[in-house]
Amino acid sequence: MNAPFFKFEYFTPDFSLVIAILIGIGFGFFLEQAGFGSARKLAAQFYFRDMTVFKVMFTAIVTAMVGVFYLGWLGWLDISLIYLTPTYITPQVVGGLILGLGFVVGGYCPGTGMASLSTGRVDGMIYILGVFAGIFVFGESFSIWKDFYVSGKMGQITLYELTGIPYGVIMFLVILMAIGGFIGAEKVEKYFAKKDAEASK
Amino acid sequence: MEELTHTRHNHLIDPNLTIWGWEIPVYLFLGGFVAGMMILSGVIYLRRRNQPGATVVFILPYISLILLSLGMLALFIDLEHKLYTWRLYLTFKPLSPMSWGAWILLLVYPVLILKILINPFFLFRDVAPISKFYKFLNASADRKNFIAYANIVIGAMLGAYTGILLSALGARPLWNSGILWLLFLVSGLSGAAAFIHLIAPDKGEREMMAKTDNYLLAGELFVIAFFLTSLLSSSAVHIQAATILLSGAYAPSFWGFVIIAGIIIPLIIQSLAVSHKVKHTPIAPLMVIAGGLILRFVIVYAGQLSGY
Repeated sequence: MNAPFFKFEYFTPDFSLVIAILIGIGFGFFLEQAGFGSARKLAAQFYFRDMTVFKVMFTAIVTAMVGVFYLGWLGWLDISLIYLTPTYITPQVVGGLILGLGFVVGGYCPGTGMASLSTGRVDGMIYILGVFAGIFVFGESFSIWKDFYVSGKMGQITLYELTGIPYGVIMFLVILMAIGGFIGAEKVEKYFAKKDAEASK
Repeated sequence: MEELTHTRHNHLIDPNLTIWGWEIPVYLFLGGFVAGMMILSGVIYLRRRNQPGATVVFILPYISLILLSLGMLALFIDLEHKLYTWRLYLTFKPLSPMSWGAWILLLVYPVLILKILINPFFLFRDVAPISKFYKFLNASADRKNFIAYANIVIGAMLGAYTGILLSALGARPLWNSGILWLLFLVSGLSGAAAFIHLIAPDKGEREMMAKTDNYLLAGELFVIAFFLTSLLSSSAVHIQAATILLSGAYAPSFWGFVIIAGIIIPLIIQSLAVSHKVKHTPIAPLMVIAGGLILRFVIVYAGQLSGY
């Protein structure tokens, strides 16, 4: 067995869309089941009242990273064939900040917005309308942003290529960071729960 | 000559092979949908004739007449020689599915109108000649039952014919399957059951139709499986034809919209709804109806890609 399956042509490009649909349904289902279809739960993250989003996302990152590392180590996955999104550092930092701002204001990211829409929540529907409006405005005014959009080009780069630190060490450091983050998140949650309890007395 | 027959550089050698646009799938869908409504309205009438009250049975023929006429309009738009349509009714060719179809369509209208006349809109009940028919039909239970049975039989013929029309075309391996008529019939029934689930004024009818639709959707999955396995166990061109749906150009639409979004997801939602674990919403029936429409598009378009 060799992965990535798509690169080794285990299925056709057309069938890859079918797999994408299945993964999308699974992703949406578990997002919703985790409570991420609710803007209240998601927005609570930014007020440090509920750190579930942080924990879930960091767990996903660590799980995928460890999985990719060990599958590559076992020879089942050719890491060099995994598609990496090219880095354009400046526009991506700005884009990340805009997305974050939208997340705080609207209570959703695009994925959770879709999960919320699917369960019939009106705020999710309005949010996704906003997403499409944003995409439309960006597409129509692309000529204005084009130079900025392709600035800060760094190519397909990874942390270990950038820093020169071995992959395994980077992975270890990220895991340590995650553990530290989880402990910190628990403490922050408890601190604010206590503070809220005191305030409501 | 060698070059022309082997490499087909001359565009006149092969005729245009993908000549059917949106009109045919829309017509096949509406035809199957109306067929499903005729069968189900007949069955519901026969089952519930001793239970008066709000019922969908007498609403369906009106909707059927409108939808079938829209379907016929789509078919008419597709015709190359529109003024020659009447010639279909100068003859009957028992071996031609198109001839059968033309005559079946002609029978559908009176059967639907008779169904309406059993229980016409109250404002027209006293208007002649409607009042005459109304009184005549309601004077005997046998007459009304006969109309219900006629709706079932003519509906089944209409639903099956939409599939037979395609499967009779041997030049298209994807359509050249003996089971396509059953697939279109079951899909038409399932779409109609979903529609009744959506609009029925009576809660009992809605529940019954949701349950019926679940059986039909499960049955449709089996029929699709038989349809594909029969193609896959046939000649190389038939295997290639099935591949267009399974992993080829139409795989995303077939798996994504027909199987997953059109059958499996609504089946799960409706199963939860009939066991009272979630509320009945319009989402699942609308997905079933959209899935039925996309099935016709996928089969017609993918079929035109398949060939020898």
